[in-house]
Amino acid sequence: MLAFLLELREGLLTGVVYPFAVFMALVWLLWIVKVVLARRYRPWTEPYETTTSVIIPVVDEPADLFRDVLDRIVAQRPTEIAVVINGPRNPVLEEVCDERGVWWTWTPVPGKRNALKVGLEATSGEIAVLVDSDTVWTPSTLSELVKPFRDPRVGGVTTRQRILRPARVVLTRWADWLESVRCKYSMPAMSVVGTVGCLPGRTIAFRRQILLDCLHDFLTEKFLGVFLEVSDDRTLTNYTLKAGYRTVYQSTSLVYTDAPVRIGKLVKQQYRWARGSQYNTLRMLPWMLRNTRLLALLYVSDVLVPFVLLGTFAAWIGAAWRHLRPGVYQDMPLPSGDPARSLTLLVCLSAVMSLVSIAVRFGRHFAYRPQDILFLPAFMLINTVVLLPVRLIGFFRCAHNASWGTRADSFAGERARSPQVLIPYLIGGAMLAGSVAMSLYG
Amino acid sequence: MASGGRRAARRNGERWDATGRRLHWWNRGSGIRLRIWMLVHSLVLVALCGGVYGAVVSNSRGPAYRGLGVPAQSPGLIGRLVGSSGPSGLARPTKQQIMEPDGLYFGTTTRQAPFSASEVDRVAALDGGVRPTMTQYFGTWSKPFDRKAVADAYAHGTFPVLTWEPWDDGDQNVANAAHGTIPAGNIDKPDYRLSDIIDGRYDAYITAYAKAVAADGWPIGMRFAHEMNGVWYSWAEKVNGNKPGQYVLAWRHVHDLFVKAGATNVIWIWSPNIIRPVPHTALKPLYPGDDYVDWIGLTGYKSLTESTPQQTFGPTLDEISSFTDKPVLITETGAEPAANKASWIAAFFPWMRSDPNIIGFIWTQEDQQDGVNGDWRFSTDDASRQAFSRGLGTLRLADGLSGTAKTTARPSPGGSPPSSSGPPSPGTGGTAVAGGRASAGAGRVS
Repeated sequence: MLAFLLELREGLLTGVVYPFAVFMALVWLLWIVKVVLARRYRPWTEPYETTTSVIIPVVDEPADLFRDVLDRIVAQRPTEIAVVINGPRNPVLEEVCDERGVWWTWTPVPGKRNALKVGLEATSGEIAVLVDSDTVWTPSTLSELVKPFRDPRVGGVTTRQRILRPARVVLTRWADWLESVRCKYSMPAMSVVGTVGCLPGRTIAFRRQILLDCLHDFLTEKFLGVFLEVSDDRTLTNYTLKAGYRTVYQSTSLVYTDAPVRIGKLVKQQYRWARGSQYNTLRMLPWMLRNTRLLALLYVSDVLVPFVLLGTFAAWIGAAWRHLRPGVYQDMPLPSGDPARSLTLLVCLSAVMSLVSIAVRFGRHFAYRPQDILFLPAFMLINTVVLLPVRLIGFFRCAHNASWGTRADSFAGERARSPQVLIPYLIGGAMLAGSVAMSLYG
Repeated sequence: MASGGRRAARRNGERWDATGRRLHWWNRGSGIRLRIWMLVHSLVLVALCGGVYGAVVSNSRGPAYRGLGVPAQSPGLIGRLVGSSGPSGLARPTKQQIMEPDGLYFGTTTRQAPFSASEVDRVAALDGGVRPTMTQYFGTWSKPFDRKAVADAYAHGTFPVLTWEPWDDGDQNVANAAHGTIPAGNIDKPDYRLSDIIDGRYDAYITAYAKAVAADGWPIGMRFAHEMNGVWYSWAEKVNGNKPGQYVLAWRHVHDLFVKAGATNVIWIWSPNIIRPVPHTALKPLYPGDDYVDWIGLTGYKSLTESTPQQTFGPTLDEISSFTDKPVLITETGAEPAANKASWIAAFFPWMRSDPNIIGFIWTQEDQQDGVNGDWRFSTDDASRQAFSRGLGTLRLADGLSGTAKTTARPSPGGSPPSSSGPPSPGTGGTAVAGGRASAGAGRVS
């Protein structure tokens, strides 16, 4: 925050554009947009009666967890439930279903997309509720989730998600923080305009008809010459939006989900998401630019931010390599001839200002979980060391269709190579070059 | 913003939300907790940003200059925010005022110059209480212009003289030719030949530097490419593949770029070494011309055998006076411990006063540990220190405010008429002692 302030002033005085200032300006701009919109958000409160089909694709899951997941769903009395075990047979899960009186079927075709098709064909409820096999419902998840469908323009609804017992380790706390921030800023903001860009797949409800209409494309449509299995939730959301429906967020429908507790698994999960999300951003960009500028802004900046940050780091390393005193701090009234004290003062002031600015920017989380402030340095470290490179690599490789993620055996599509796989590399290379050039010659 | 609180349930008179969390007034979903949080943190953030911004803006105006030899008032953070500079701070001096001093300059080169205030205080403590009015320091072409260096120099009440070396840096302990060895790293700089400067290879850097100097606005002494008549720096014509005539071209090239960039606050100091170690190198062919030079600088340290400053500087000054009558500032001098050190120092001050063309000196108050090749300090023994202190007491020092009406706070932008026309005549005030400056300072209030 301190550097941002000084760089802004320097920029106004001399016209020099600092990558970090650009990054921070972008961050604050997005924040203001989100807050202004999110303030207008209200959840739907009128009850709505309809028929619901809960479809649960599952490959493998600990029996105890799966039993708990099923129990909580059964307790809310949806019209019907269909568990679709895909890939190898799983006697344990079959037994759990039988034990709880839940209908199940098995398909040898691996992959969530085909499982959805199987489940959809086996059910008939007006609203299809897609649930991940590790997602734990709270007592009124379902009744709250269907409320927005009272509005016939609404095609898809998502839940509020939190992480189970977030205080376990730093990684779960971090994941919970990310989910919480998403639920309190971007989700309600996008929901206000009726275009939640990605209804997260832990639990989503769609009008059955929309899914039937897009099922063929969902299973076959290619982009950049490949069919990508990952990011099924975002893809379905895109079809719903393209069909002219609104996608919204119901904050009163709460689900809990697990988060990786080990860094390796976290990296794989984030990489899968980074690829799927950025692939779909490219895919949807023309549509977003025509139909919903807000989504275009949010998702393009989502792609841009890691690149701008990388440029910033390049600038800092470049400056350190040339042994430059950071120029923007020159005008600070610091004690003369005492570098140690100056440095301490600068570091402390920067830290305090960053802390306060983050407390403001993520107020909706930290106001209720002030203890998470203590973990901020760790969060920032994870963001920088894990998320940043993962998102960058994810962008470059977003048109590679060979699956590599938490679900190694879940890939169904043909393994194809297309010259268009180069397109993300070219775009990414251009952004990288631009960002670094700006930092070195800016 | 909605939360589970909307669907709160009552149980035993207590309220719980859907996830089984007990509800209190601050988490019931009324948003009061969030509002307080946001209010407090926004206020703190605005206050911090405002405070830092105010301090930076005020600080960038430079120190509250009160003349040379007097430490500037540096208000604290609060003072800066409430009201910067204040009535006792004068506006910055003009180049003209520095060029037409009402006395002599007494400068020092110290290890952490120009940043260290304590080093300035220490010199004053050693020399009997007279604060230096100039600070000499070094800069290379690998660094951008350091505004803070200039601001710090003025904050200590000293005029900054920057020795600007056109290379990326050399080896320390530059060997005087008389001492024998010269580090190869100092004269073998293929990237920094004079022809590189002349051909424009560094134009972008020089221009950016000059613009920064101009934007800063405070006058500085620019002692560019010093000791060019020696053979120990890469910009000397005799080394590094340089050719005769190139030094003058390079100097003019750099000078012209500064003029083009609007850096009119620069005093150009052409500063050869005394001719003792290089008696066969003529100075005139190295002189860029009166149009390109404001002051003549001179490096001249007492040798162990020399017993008077006339022996040290005389032959060089004679040669220089044959082609220019620009004012002379002795930019580097000092004396190593020797039996005749105190007497040399004692003679230095009257000798300097006797030559009306000399406008001051900068003493190298450093020893081998500071990176120079001798213990040049005036304070190596009591006799020398006392001779220095006594001599200094006979000088009338320039206060950096000449030409201003001393009762007004701000000099007129065009510069007020100088106290005397033509070259300055600092010798006239020779009888005034240092103490006199304090009372002069007291009168300078708006």
